Amino acid sequence: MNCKKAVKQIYLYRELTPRQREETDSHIATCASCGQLNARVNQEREMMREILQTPQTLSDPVRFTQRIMREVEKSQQKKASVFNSLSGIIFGKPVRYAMAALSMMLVIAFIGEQNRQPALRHSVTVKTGVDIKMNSASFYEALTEEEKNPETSPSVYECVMACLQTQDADCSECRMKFTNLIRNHETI
Amino acid sequence: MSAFSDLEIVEKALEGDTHAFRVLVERNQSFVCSLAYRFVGNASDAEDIAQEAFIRLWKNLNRYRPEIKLTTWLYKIVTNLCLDFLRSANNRRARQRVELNDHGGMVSEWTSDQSLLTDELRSALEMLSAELTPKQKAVFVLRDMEDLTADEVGEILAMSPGNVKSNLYYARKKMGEMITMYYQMKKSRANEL
Repeated sequence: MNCKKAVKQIYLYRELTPRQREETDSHIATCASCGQLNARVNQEREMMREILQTPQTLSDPVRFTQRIMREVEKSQQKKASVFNSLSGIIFGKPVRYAMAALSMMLVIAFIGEQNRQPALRHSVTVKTGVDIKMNSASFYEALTEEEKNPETSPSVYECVMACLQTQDADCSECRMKFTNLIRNHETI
Repeated sequence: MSAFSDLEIVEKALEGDTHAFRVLVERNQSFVCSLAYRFVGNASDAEDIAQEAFIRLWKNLNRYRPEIKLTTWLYKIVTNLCLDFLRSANNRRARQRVELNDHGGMVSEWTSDQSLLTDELRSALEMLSAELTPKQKAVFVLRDMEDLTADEVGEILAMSPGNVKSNLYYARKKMGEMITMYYQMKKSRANEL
């Protein structure tokens, strides 16, 4: 080991591995200048430890704790007030009124939609030359029309139901009526 | 409450129990203040830093990981605050005005005649350590004054082992040189008288 490395290891002696310490020790034993440096560094280390390790205590630990706890409680109150103001915004009167108004609007829109289109009664697909979905808007319109004029008999709905039951796929009445529907309502 | 472990107290404090946190402060205030004092060399600055460290601990308590010792975490918080303090240009002036025998709100536990001599030496050493860079000072304080292991120092300062050693080497060398210089000055002054 050369002196340059030894100097570094003398300063870092506490951090060395046992093997590195052995190497440093054997160099110090044979090198006068490194031995002197080692003695000086050890002396300085002891001196610093003695001087700087003297524990420091607070003159007024109670006041110190109180200062901290005041800040802690302040921060907790702040947290609580942020929560309160947020919940005030979320659950406040204006928001509650707006929510109520929105709910009312949704109810009205729903009722309006229900009135515009009758409730679904049956959902069947009838093969009458063309596929017709009986829950389509056109079918309901035709049905509504028939309900207004009950003298039309049989209605397209009654006719289809009857044909389904008798498995009559070639009912001229149905087909005529569906053809009529198709002509009047392209949406089928 | 004093019989509870740090972890148990932290858990209670996390539930909003400020009394539990008070116990934590009382248990650690002496060590936190001493540590801050060793960094900044001024009692009133050290108290301010210690206070800020506890408030920071309270605010970040939910980030506490039980596998890490509470003291290690406190070392981290205090060291970071002290490094910020030392780095700030405004406080550089404050560091230079270390007044001999001025310990502000802090008092030494030594009360004998020996303390007069030690106080003077300590002040001189604190002044000398102000010449170290913040990183050098941090490794020096944590390793040589707080007696932490080199691994702990590396963890607290987020430094590699090589970096810790290199900073330690320069810090010890500089401190040694400054101590020698200080003694030579004292000796020559005594001879003049």
